[in-house]
Amino acid sequence: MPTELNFSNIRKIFGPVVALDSFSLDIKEGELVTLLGPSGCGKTTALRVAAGFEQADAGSITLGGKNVTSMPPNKRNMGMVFQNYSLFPHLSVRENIGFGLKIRRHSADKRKTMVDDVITRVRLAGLADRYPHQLSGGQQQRVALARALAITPDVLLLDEPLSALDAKVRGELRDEIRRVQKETGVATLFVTHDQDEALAISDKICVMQDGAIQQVGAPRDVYLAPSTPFVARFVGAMNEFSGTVAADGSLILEGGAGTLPGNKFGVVGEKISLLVRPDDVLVCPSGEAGSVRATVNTVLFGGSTTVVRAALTGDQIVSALVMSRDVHVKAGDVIGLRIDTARSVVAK
Amino acid sequence: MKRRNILAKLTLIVVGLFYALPMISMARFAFQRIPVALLGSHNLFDRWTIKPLFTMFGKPLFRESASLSIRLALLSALVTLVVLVPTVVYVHVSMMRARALIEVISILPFVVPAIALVVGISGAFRESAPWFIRSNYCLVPFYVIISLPYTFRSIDNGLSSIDVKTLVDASRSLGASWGRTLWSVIVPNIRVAVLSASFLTMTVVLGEFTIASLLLKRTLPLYLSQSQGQDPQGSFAVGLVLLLVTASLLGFMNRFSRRRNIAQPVAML
Repeated sequence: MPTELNFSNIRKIFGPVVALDSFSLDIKEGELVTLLGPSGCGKTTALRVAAGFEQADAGSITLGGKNVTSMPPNKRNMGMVFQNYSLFPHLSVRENIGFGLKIRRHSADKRKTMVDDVITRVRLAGLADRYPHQLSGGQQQRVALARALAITPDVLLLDEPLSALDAKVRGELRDEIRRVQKETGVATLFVTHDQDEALAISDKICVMQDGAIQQVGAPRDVYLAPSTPFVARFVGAMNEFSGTVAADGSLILEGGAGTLPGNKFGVVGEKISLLVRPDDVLVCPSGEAGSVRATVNTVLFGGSTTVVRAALTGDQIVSALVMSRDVHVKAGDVIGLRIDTARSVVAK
Repeated sequence: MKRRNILAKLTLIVVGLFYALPMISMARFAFQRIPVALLGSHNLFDRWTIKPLFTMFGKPLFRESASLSIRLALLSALVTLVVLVPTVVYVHVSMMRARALIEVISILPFVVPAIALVVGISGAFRESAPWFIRSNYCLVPFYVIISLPYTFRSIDNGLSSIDVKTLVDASRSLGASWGRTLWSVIVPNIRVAVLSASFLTMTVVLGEFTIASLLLKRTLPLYLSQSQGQDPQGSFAVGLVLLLVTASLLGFMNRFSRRRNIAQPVAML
């Protein structure tokens, strides 16, 4: 039977706080699933319940079809990488990686072969005899990953493993984790609050809020078709247009800023917020048909792309994401914004 | 600045003399074969001998009490570590909010006089387990308790200097049991604290008089006190040696912990 991790209706309470509520999720063999959400949404609790560090108050966890809900963490065969490195300071890199194998009573020869193999896999050759305090943060996290993989775990649990690293190392290690995970085919549960990280690394993203799952889907689906306003707001940047639904189905923006075409925003006369991604907002000359008038506030250069922030009549601020080479505006310019509402989300 | 330096040095010299003069007097009394009344600066280097020490070592009662004290010291240190390390680790991992309360409990031996402890415990056990009070080893729990103010702090400080919770979780996730985690992961990382707690317990045991006296056990401090009348030179000689041994243990501990700190360079980030 393939090693699959299943959460079924997990509930976990800490005093008055419901950390997880009706939490159900399946992670298939070879799949990397990311738990994404703001601080305190329950993602780390879910991971710790999977690892056995926290006991669920209700529900069950199965691993490869076997119920492991009450099994102690040392019997679950799950490799875990923590946010703050967690290497054993008194052991060298080689000894750290071999720790789990020693517990499993592998012979010294077999241990050496397995450790060498995983050292090569995570590209740590040359560092095997160093101690944790002689390594950089990125190197330490590679060792932690190697140590978790060395025991050939049924599931790999990654608890914000990149959050303590600087941007460059974070990007490198993120790709490394994905490469190694694909090579080994181990089912992986990855916890992060960084949406870019989640979008880049995952097969599936599970967006959480207040202990409950909001949406589970492929990164593209979660980004392009968010199922709730929370997901829309949390994953990626969003513009929020407040207005009233007109008789023809379009949205009359507050403050007389203009009208957004459409026919599915809600009941006529209803006040709603329409969520639109900055990449669905196009900068065009002022007065162009179908556009709304705006005044440029700031132009934020971000390398290949630039964010143009502009104020509509009535002071609603709108962000437009454009390719830097196409930006020919500056603060104070009056421009037109064409807003594509095809992928918008209505918040009531 | 210069004036402050002079003042500091002067203070150091005064404090040093305060400790050194009684030691020198004690050493002269114990190891110089000159009547006390004739001891003076003119014969500071005359007729030194370590014979009183050997005379004392030759006495069977001395050997018995010394052996008992050493056994009690080792056993108390062992019991302290076996009881205290897992308890404090558990507090750090699962009950951090209870740490303040446990810290308060740990200083109770300072508040409760030794005599109250002995009367209470011996009263409770005299009827139900008289064999416990009769045994010399009944002193061990007392010694563990009276060492608690020092040993708890030592272990607690050691554990505060590492990320216990994450290390325990990492070890457990790799398949280690609680026992294996304690032995292979936690203890090696708090070696200095463990050594320090052991030395402090041994130091307390080697100097403890009241409890042993109340429970009529012939430990080394009690023997030395009793033999002062018959062989004052010998008992002072042993007392001085004991003092040097405990001072060396503390010095060694201090040195070892400093070396450990130096050997932990800052991570290169």
